[in-house]
Amino acid sequence: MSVLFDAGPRLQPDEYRLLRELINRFCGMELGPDTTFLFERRLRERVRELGLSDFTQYYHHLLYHPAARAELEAAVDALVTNETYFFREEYQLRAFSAEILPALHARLAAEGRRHLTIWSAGCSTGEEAYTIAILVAESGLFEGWDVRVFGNDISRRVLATARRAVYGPSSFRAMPAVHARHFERVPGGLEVVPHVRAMCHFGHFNLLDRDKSALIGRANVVFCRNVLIYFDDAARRQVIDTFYERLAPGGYLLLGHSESLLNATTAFELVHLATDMVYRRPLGTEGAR
Amino acid sequence: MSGPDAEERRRAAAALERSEASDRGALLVVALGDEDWRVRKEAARVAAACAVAWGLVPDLVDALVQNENVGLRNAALEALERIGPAASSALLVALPRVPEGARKFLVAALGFAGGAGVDRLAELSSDRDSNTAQAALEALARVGGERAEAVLRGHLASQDPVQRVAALEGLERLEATVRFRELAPLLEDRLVRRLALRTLGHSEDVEAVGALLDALADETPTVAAEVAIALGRLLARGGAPARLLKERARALDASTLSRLREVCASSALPARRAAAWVLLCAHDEAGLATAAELAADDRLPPPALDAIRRWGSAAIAPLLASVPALAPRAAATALEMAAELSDVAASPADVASLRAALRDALSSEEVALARVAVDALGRLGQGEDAPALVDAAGRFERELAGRAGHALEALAARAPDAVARALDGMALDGALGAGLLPALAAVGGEGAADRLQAALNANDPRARRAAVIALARLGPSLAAELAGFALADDEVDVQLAAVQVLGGLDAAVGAPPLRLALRAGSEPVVAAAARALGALGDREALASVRELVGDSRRGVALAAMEALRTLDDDALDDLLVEALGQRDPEVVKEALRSIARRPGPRRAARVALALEHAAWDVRRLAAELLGELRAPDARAALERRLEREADRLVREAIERALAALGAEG
Repeated sequence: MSVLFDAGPRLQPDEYRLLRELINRFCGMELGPDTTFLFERRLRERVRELGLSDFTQYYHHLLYHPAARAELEAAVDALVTNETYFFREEYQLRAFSAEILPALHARLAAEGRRHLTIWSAGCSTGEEAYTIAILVAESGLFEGWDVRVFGNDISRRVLATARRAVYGPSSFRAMPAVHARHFERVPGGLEVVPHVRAMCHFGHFNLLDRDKSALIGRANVVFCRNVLIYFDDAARRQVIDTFYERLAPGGYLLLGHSESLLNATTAFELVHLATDMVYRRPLGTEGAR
Repeated sequence: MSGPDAEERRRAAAALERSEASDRGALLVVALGDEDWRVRKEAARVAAACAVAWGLVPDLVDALVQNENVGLRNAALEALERIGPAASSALLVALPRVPEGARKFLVAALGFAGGAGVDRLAELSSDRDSNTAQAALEALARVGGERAEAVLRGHLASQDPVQRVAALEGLERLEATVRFRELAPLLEDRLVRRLALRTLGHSEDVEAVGALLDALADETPTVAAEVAIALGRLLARGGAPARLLKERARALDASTLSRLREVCASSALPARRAAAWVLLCAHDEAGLATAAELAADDRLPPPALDAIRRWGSAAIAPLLASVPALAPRAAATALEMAAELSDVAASPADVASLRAALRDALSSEEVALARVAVDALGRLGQGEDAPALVDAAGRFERELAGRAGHALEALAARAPDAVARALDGMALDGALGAGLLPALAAVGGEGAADRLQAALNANDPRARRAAVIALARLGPSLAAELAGFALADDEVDVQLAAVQVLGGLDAAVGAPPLRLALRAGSEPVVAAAARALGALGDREALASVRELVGDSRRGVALAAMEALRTLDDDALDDLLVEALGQRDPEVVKEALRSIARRPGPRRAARVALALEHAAWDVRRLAAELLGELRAPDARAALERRLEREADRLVREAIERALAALGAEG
């Protein structure tokens, strides 16, 4: 597909809206009004790959083909910028290491629990999940504990990358060199070492799917950074409700730097940490809303 | 509805939509004022869907002007917003009777009620209550249209600064054209200067260009960002200001260029995008890096890319120079643009530098860079690149095998032996096989035919599919025979490939197996076969395809109608009228298209019926078709619908249709 001389099918206004509405119904995604060009460029590739001649045919494919669901996932995958990297938004990770992990360790240990679950919601290619696992390992607080870092995404493609755990240079653009010991050089890049990989598990589901989200069990921390920006208001609220349900009382919700729960819910409490502000499901709220 | 659990109350509110109870309206108003926002939200949705039919709009208006429950008021406003023009009468009737303090809420709701309230809003924009006047200006900015824009323009010279801001914001929101002379006084007004600069981007006057470029001397970063946005808008609008700006861009002084580069480096997306565009017009090399970053995310509009095309091969060297400093995806985009420019015209030295950069990228661990290299080397590569292309396909099998196959296919036209050697001995199965099989077909020869036929039995259906398509290149008789077999494959995608191949053959060879495929079990295969038979003009299939119009599988019914339209079937009229009653909007739309294209005295009347369809896209298509038909008797139906239509895209289509009818008259 050409950047400068692309002469493929043009996306008509009605096709644009029908596709947006269909994708919104599928996964709650709302990319905003100024995305015609982005839709056209990125879905044109799908149109070509399927041997179709225009976007109406592509819309029909998404409606009627037996593999329509897989193609909807491919369309979402094409529209979303999945780019992520290790140790992204480092200030927040500092707060996670220095304050959240010790606080969770103290409370869970006092309760006699030696089980820590962290959910990387919308994990993309897995860098965030492995970053979290590295930080847990480096904290030294959870030796001998049962630690699970669970990542989910709607795209099978990115999950395949996450499970493969081999990354190119751009994934390491923000990683301090001190963490390099958690990677080994292999053909094609750097691979996450086995003891970190063993903590991480990946699953394929949409954040709007409450039933599948329940498979995670109760989480102590939910990371959901730069994901809510893709949802419309209704879907965002539904996802936040799911986080509330999945978080154990006292569990933390960490959002991206430009995201907040403003106008979405008042169920969480805001916690001021030294380097960041995060949300927490209040203690003593088991089962209550 | 009075239970303690908010979720139960929300479900009760949702259930009201299907309720026949006599007190359903009263209960809905209770739900609109619930203490929990989720219940109110649900109730607003139900109210928007049912209030007109239930005669509940006056109750919503009452809820809007009461002052005891803010949640109720907001929920009522949300419902009225969605109801749109159908609420206009109730709102206008209520205006004289509500207390002054509550009028602003009614006025706000009128902003969603279409053109019926514009005159009243125009009066209220000069109301002595400043809140009401401001609300009226904001409402006019929602309604839009010539009259609303004229009122807003009139308030640009208001003594009240709040009104000046509201008028400017309104015009900005409407993207209304504003004359330079109307805005010039506001450029000196510190309170509204930034907003006025931004609005200058909607001017059609060439004076706007000079004023905006002069304003770049202002060192405030936010002003520079606003100016960049306005300049970008001038470029996007085209016309005389855009031509002048492009001309002046080539002679911008160093400080202006520097200010635009700062905007590229530090501002939000709209300003970055606009500043990069101006810099591209200036042939500023620093602008190329930002352009590559934006284009990597598909955030650079096509006309801005045109600036790079016009720059031409002279941009190749600076693009290549920008690659090392850019993040991988942006670097890949810069490389891709350089390669595309070289396709048009490039010096041997540029091509040599480009090949070196592409070979370097092909060995990268970054898939984005390798992808660009694979694509470009298909066009620019030499025989010696074939092994590296095969290697890249193996390293990034899932992402790049198909692209590498196409690249090798293109390379095979120039260096077939090199490509054949590179593919020799490879196991062609899985994603890698599916990707590389087209290249094998391009190389051709007896060995290739054997390997392609062997690939029809590959384990991976992607490889089998690719083999079916690739075999079509080796001659029609072999293709027909093997594609016929492939119709019996256990995977739908392989069967679809077979239909595609058969549809591309001569009708005498391709049609017989396609007729058999009409009886296949899979919806997409039957649909594809019907379309292919239509395209082949196979009238022997008419009877079978007619039967499919009533098929319960919507994709099949749709394809059958398309095929019958292509075949110009005499029996189609009756089938089409029947299809108009189908639930699937796509089936109805196809029926409408067919009706509109078939001669007959009742076609416009039949199409006009669809102006009342529940789906916006059906109504829009009906309006478009009526405009194309230019049937004068459709005017009344279009005008009636326009009065009630709330959907913007449909309204625009109706207005275009009416304009077409007017032009005809």
